[in-house]
Parts: sequence; structure tokens; C-alpha cells
Amino acid sequence: MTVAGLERSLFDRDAVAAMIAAGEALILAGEEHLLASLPAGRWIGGTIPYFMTAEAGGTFDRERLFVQRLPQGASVHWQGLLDRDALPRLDATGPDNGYTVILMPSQSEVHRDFALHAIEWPGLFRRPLVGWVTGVALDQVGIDTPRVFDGATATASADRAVVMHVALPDDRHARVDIVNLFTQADGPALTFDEGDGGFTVEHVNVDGVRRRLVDHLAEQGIDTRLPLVADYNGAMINVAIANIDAATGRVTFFAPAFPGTIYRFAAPVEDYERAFAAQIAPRTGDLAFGCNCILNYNYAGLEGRHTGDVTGPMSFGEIAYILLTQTLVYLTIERD
Amino acid sequence: MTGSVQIAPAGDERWHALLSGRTQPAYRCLALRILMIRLKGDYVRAMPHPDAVVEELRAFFRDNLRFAGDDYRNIFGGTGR
Repeated sequence: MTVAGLERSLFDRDAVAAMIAAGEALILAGEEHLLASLPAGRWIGGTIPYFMTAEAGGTFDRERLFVQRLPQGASVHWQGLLDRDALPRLDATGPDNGYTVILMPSQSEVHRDFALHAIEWPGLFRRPLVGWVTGVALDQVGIDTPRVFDGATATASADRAVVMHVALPDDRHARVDIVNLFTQADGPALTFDEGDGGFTVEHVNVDGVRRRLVDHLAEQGIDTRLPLVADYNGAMINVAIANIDAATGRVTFFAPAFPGTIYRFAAPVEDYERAFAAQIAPRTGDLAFGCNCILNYNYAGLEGRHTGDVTGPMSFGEIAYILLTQTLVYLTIERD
Repeated sequence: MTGSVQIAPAGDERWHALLSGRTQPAYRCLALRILMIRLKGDYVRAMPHPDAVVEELRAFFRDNLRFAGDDYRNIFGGTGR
């Protein structure tokens, strides 16, 4: 299967503009200058130049846009930009039957709010929710600004999330799932006290003994490309390390660590490409959305390699109800 | 959408068994796996008045039964009463 029947996933700007002019509903990913040049229409988009493509596997491309069409029979129920005040009720404008796609700029307040609090928001689980965190080329981090675009008004934003609620026919429904190659290794249990968690931490409890995480990392010789992994009732949820500040001893994550949750560092993955292919299949539904993590692209050398048949942007964070990292997210459409 | 299935009433002891952790079925559905992480904590904090937490879990199944149906049937044996 391919995404919504596509044999290609990357298109030049003019081809995408033609799709929009033809009334197609699209979820787009690409560089800011490309998204900003598109006409208004039924599309949302976010900045990122890394993709997992059907035609070439992992690809870095600053001149083309990644296109995910809505599945057959689906329609845009509502789309728009949401600020941090409106975001906790993002479900309110959705359809009775369908799903929601959300994109949010990396390091924005909506990103932070979503990461820390989304699981508490009433209505978050009302319908399937997928999406990703927009970013920039890795050599432009801190220089360029991640943005989202609401195509309905051709408006860009660096501080709001863009949401598209998709309605489905009554005989179909959406299902979200993830592929996380990481499992907990047999290391000590790591927990964070109230006040010690979040995106940036200093102290951790190692099998109950409080100490600096940076010291634990150094003493154990831990490969910091491996995430912390928590077991959410059988779903492995990662917290990936973004930065270690040796001067302050503070460790920054791509997703927050939560007090009260038990983490362990992940076991190494031998062959990402083979592992993705093995874990993605089999499925019963048709793929309608996919995304994966820039860290998987970068750490696993996925350029020119595939992750099964799931394509999509390689993002700065993935969303399957909550913020994830180093995880492949996909949504399928199933017939009743 | 629940189709013809009626979600078990809030007074059904099995809701409380799930939320208290007395029963711990292996959930198949990603959404339920994640949601139950929060609801179990909410349930403990809400005692002795956990009605809102039970209702949130009932609402989850009511809204998502088409993909969470296997989990519901595993918990409630295919009958919602």
C-alpha cells in the first residue's frame, strides 16, 4: 500500500499549486519559501526539509513539498490556527466521525503546552489525533524559525498550531498507531521527583537514589542517542535527549519527562530499516497519514533507506494523541 | 459511535477495577493505553468521588468503540448490559 495511492510523495511547488487549484485537500511539509508561495485553499502545512518518501526513501529536499492527500471520501470539516488559549479545546470543532491532524512549531509555547498538558485536556481522546512538530534544516536550528501554515487563509504562524479536522463517511473510521523500535533495556529504573521533570532536568532518581543525570550518563557510558523509554500500558513512549550542558549539568529533552513515570534507557537497535519493515506490517486499513522523527533519520542513517511503506515528514516531534519522539506515527482508514 | 453496543453503566464494578488497577488487561488500542496512564492517577486523586473519572472512560469507549471495540469486549465480555 502507498499513502492514499500515491506513487510519489514529493512534488514541485507548481504541481502542488495545481492540486490546490483543483480543490484537493492536502497536508503539506516543506521549506518556508515554498509553503509561503502557495495559493489559498484546503491545505495545511509545516516547515521541515526531511522526508521519508515512497520514491527515494529518506530524503533531504529544500525545493519540493511533501504531499499527503486526504483519503478517498474524506472531507475537511474544519481547519484553522489555534493559540495556546484555544488549543486545550482543539476537539470542539471536529466531526462526529473522523480524525484530526495538528502541526505545531518547535519550541513554541503551543508546543510546550501540548507536550506538558495535552494528556489532561478533556476531549483529547474524542477522536484519533495525529500530527507533527515543525522544524528547520539541522544546520539552521536557531537561525530559521519553524512555522505552520493555514492554507485557508494562506497565513503562517510561529506561535500557533494549525489544525485540520477531517470528516469520514459513516462506513469508515480512523485508527492511530505507532512503531517505536525502542524497548527498555535492563538498566536501572529512572524517575523524576515533582519539580524535577519537564523538558530540562538536572536530577534523577536512579533505582531510588537521587543524583545528577549528567553524572549517571557519564559513569554508565550511556549512548545518548538512545532515548529514555516509559511503558504506557504496553505502548513504549520515548523521551529523547536533545542536549547536555556540561557546564550546568542540565539535560534537555525533545519531550518532557514526567514525575511519577518509570523510565529506563533503551536497548540499541541493530538495523532500523529492517526493524521498521517488520513492525509496520501487517495492517488491515489504508494508510492516510504518516510521520517519523528527524532523530531516527539522523541517528539511523535513513537517507536513501525506507521505513516499510510508511512515508511522511521526518519531524521535530511526532503526535499520536500526545507528543512522542523517535517514533513513527501512522493513521489508517478502515471500513466497518 | 457505539453502533448497537450499549456501554456498561457507571455503577458497573468493572470500571472501578480497571481504574484502580485491580484488573490490568493487556490493552490493544494505543489511545486507551495512553489515556489509562492519566485516568488511573485521576481515579486515586478523586477518591472517594471518582464518578467523573468513570464517566470519562465510558465516554472514551462511547466515542471510539469502532477501534477500541476489541478492548471493550475483552473487558466486558461483549455485552454492555
